[in-house]
Order: sequence, then structure tokens, then C-alpha cells
Amino acid sequence: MYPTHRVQSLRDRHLLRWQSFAAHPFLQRLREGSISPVAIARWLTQLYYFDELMMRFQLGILRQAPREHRVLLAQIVLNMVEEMDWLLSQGIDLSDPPDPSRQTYQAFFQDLQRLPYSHLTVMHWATHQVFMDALKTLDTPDERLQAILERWADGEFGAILYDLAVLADEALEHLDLSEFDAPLNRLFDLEDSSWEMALRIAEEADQDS
Amino acid sequence: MMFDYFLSTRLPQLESVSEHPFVQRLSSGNLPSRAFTAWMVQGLYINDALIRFQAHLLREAPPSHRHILAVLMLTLSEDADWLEEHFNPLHYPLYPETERYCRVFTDLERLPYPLALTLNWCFHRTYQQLWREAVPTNELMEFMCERWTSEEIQNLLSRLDTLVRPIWSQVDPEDFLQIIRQLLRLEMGIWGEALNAGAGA
Repeated sequence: MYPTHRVQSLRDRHLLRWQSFAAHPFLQRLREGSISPVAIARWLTQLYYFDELMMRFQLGILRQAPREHRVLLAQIVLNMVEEMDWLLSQGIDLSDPPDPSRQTYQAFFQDLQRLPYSHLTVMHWATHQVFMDALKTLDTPDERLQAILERWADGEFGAILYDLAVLADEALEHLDLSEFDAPLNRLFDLEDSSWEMALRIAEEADQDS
Repeated sequence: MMFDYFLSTRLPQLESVSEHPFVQRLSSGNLPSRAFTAWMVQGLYINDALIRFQAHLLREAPPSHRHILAVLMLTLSEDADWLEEHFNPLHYPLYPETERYCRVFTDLERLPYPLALTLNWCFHRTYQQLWREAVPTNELMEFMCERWTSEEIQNLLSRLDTLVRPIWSQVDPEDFLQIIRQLLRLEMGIWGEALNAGAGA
């Protein structure tokens, strides 16, 4: 499943929390198809705001990256930009303000930027992978979500994520896994609050209908 | 008006750039290989600064500008891979002009986005124009020539034109020209050094 053993060990070290998001009620409701299209659209707007923060984080990493890593990072940034363009083409409503959980992510990314480049590489990979691992458990009837899933899990971006995992694995060679306990726990807390936000959006839409 | 001038002109007719011996030799098929190599090695350092600058622009850019800038950043990153594969920076010193040139790009980050983007556009247009006029004298030169005159890069720069045209009115022409002149003077300094390295062969 993972290209090399070090990123696998890091994931195993945190396996319970890492895997916990797949069972979140929001994702369960997505599988059941019981979330209204309006709520999904509002959630996708928040995903757009997340992508913007993630792209800025990635650009900060790219500015520090050695030459041999830059093509991969530039491909990842391009992919994020394409996803944002796609979300805009789906008519997401940017008059809907960013949820406060986005600001917490922003602070997290800003704090991460103070870490050495090798740590950034690992956390960059982990942030993508935690989200992906939860998302790929979905089998959803919603066409927009299917498009996102296909985009992330298959084809070109799947290969890019694999290459990022390889970089993270190399970075871990000279690092102690325990150094990532604190930032990963913070990431898990943020993922929790993010899925909670999604559930709240779904419940609000239930009440409105 | 000035936008169309820069769009239609060969090289910016500033600082007598077209008359520089390096440009003359490049466009007449007389550039010594060693001078080309020395220039490309400086290009590798400049590419580092340029990529950092692209990342900065992308952070500032409105959503409709992002895709073009991201493709440009990827293109430059690929250029660096190729340059590093074929040219060894250890064989050529970093020229003081190159160092100053790179520093200018760091300073550009303090400029308002429209001016910074317009300078980025002019820089790439000028660079492409150099290759359009070049007559290659070796395989590596031929590669760069083909790459920078390719339809792919031509389309990319045409898309960049469409970003700059509507914001041109927000740019103070004096500020723009001052920085372009500064960059051209530094570039000509690098060309002079590269020609010296070529003459030493």
C-alpha cells in the first residue's frame, strides 16, 4: 500500500487516529447518500478554502526545496490549482465565508513553516494522505464527489502522491518518528474539527429543508 | 500603448540591448559554446530566484491567474532539471551581476502584484525573444532554442499576455521601465562575463 517502510511505520504509530476519520458520521452519511446537494455544495466551498491554504503552504515548501524536488512540488501545486478551478466551475458560492476551522488550519500551516524542510516534507505528505485515506473509503452517489475521488485516487495525481510519499520516506531516514507526534496530533485534531464542520453543514441543511 | 510596444518589439529597445555583442553573436550563429555554457550556468542560479518569485506571485494572484502561473512555475522547474543535468555550476563561478540579479527578484516581492506580474511577463517575453532570434551552434543551444520557441511555450506566454493586458493600466510606466532597465543592465553584465569566459577557450 505504501512505497516504503518508514512512512508506513509513521502511519502505524498513529494508526487508530489516522484511520478514525473514515468512520466519521459525515462520511457515513455521504456513503448512504443522505446529505443534501445544498450541503455538499457548501462543504465543497469550505474544501476550496482549504485548498487555498494548502496551496500557500505548498508554495512555501517549494521556495525552500532543493532543485531536484521542485518539479514534483510544482506539479502538486498545479494540481491544487486545477482542483480549485474545477470547484469554481461547479458553481461553489464564495460569498459563503470560510468556517473558523479554516483559520485554525492556517495557523497550523504557518507554524509548520518554521520546521526544517525535511519535517515539512513529511507533514506535507501526511496532510494529503490522512485526507485521502478517509476519502477513498467513500462510495458515494454524488457525481461531484465521485469526480474529486477519481481525481485524487487515480491516474496522474495518484502517481504524484506516491512520489511525495517517497520523498517523505527519504526525509524520515534521519529523523525520529516521535518528532512527529505533536504535529500529527494537531493535524488529527484539525481533521476532526473539519469533519465536524462538514456534519454541522449537513445538519443545518436538514433543518432548513 | 506601451504594452503593445513591448508585445510587438523584438527585444526591448532599451539600454542598446540589441546591439550587445552577446545578442549579435547569438543571433548570427557565432556564440562560442563556452560563452553559452557560462550563460546557462548563471541561468541555473537565476532560475532558483525566478522560481521563488513565481511562488510568491502565485500566492498573491487572483484565482483566474493561478493556472497560468502554476504552469509557468512547472515549466521553469523542468528547465532547471535540464540545466542541472547538462551544466555543472562548479565549473563556473557565480558572477557578481548574477548575484545582484537574483537579489532584484527578491526585492520585486515587495512590489504591488500588477507591477510584479508585468515585470515577470516582460522578463519571459524578452527571454523567449532571445531564443526566437538565436541561431544555435551546438546541440544544447538547439534544445533551448526549440524549447523556448515551441508552441507549448508560445501558448503559455500568449496566455500570460492576456493576464497583463487588463492590469497594465494599474502599472506606473516609470516604475516598470526603471526595473526593466536595471535587469537589462545586469543581464548585459552577465553576457559580457560569459563572452569573456568564451574568449578564454
